[in-house]
Amino acid sequence: MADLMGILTFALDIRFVLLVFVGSVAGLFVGAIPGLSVSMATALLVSITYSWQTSDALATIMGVYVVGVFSGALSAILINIPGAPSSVVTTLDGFPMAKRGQAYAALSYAIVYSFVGTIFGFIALFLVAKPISSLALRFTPMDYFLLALFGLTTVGSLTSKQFSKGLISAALGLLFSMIGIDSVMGTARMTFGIRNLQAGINIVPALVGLFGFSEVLMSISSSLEDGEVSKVSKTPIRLKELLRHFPLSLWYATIGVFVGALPGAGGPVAAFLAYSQAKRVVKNPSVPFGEGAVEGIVASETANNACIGGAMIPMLTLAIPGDAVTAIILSVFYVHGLRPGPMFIQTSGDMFQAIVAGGFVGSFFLLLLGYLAAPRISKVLTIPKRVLLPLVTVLCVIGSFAANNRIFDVILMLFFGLLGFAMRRRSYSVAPMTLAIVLGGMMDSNFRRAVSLASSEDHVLFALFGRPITIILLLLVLGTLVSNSSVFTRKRNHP
Amino acid sequence: MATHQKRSTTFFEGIGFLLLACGLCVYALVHHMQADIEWKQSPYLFPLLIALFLLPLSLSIMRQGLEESAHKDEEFQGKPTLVMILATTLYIASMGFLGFVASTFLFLLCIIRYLGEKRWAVSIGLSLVFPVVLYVLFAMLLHVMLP
Repeated sequence: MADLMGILTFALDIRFVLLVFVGSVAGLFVGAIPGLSVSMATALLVSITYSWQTSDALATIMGVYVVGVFSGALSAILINIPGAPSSVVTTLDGFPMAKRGQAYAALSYAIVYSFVGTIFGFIALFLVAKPISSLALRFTPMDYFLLALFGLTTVGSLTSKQFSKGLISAALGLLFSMIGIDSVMGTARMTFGIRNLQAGINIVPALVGLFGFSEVLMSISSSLEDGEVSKVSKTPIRLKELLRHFPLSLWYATIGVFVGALPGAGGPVAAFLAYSQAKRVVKNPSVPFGEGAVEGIVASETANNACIGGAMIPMLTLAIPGDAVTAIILSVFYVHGLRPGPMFIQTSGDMFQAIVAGGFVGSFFLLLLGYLAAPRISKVLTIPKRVLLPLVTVLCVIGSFAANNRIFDVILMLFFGLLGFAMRRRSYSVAPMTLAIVLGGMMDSNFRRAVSLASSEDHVLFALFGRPITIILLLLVLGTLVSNSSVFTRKRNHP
Repeated sequence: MATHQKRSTTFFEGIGFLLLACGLCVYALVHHMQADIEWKQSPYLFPLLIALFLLPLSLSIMRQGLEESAHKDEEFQGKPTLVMILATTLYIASMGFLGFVASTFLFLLCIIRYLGEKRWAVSIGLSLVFPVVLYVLFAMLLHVMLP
């Protein structure tokens, strides 16, 4: 009850609502314009909101996150280029609808079911976060280490075409997280005499480089041609018709929450899974799937927005981010001196309420901006890349500098941008690396603590892995590694 | 006549990762010995584990590289990418002595023109307005320091 009151207090605070609105407007553009991404915008926001109150920073970021994930559908529907990776599936039916002159209908379905998905996700977060936190209180250092390892192996398997490439990306991220003064012994590690590295790799320039500058280089290296925009003519849809898919959307939202809570999986996987479910469940779609079926848009958009609340669950309760954006939000907490984890809701209950309130308020702005601004946004989608990309580069430079006011961080951004670009060109996903940079320090300290504690016991192995939770987590890690190993995947592909 | 098949880039990536893993192993072992502490407290324990984790992965990448044949990347605009990287490097380097507004103006003007914007008014207007707007927004309103 106290939590509900707290959420309501934030939701009625004019300043808070205004900041969510500002974030939502930014999210609308960032998500819709191909070449800009929610991860990039959130990474830039970390540096801008560095000196703000935590609740203000969270309000803005939640606005960007909620509306940004939705607005990827705008360019997916209108120009057949997904504004965000989670909207890739929306292009399958959204663009064919737009080509048939039903762009407004496609947008309406995307708006309404993104809203449904977001609300469902945040209700799930609100209901599930506390029980998971209670469970996590029983976790030992080894459990935390294994949980983070499970997150890295999962993200490695889901975001890369080849499992080994995903794991290599994670290993490199762990390596970067080792740079700097070791938190346990206070020894400088892998700094190679560079003084600026003693404080470690700052997460903000690393994220801005990996998601921002590398995206700029990817866009330039592929093509500078811009897409053609479909016309949006307003054709009203009956509410009854629009809400006909509501019962099924709850199933897609459940998929979205589960996939979101799985570390690293995120919106693209959720949208894809929900779409395959829709193809299986809906026997008689309005038109065949892939040719402009509204059922496809409903599945994809509900699931990818439900992922937002889902991804917050492990981030807030276990400090394990569910996707790249929550990894960045985790760094916002660290920057503001907060420690997410099992005690987070008890010690920083107001910040938990701010996040949930930001999500709810953001979802209402999604509905409002979606209906008012989305049909008029088509002109913005045509900003030529030759103009947009240099401007984004300047923002990347400012974003990486602003966190610590060091030119060294700008150089780090450039380094990570080039690294991210090279990795993406060679099909290495940067998501496992991001998660590993964020989680590496925690994994290192928990692993050493677990080994130190166990070494004083008679049966070291039993002390390390003897508890039921630890065994389950260990089996999950081993299961992920074995099921994705080349021997098994080959057998699956060539039975 | 024997055909000579070109190795794919993946194979060489695998070699790179193998060298990295070996280097990291040596680094962790040498520094651990110099630190003269138990392994359970050693700051080099985790880097060593990462290196051991990287070893089989690099071999797996090398094996994948042996199985696939070399192919050319499709649709890769090398020249504009290289120009963008060089221009950004110069931009960052020039900020120290030109200041944020002047270096941003020059960077934007040059790169927007290079990427194909033909209208001088748009190029100059954007290059001038954008840094000034950023300066007012960040430095004056949000109190964020600029380079």
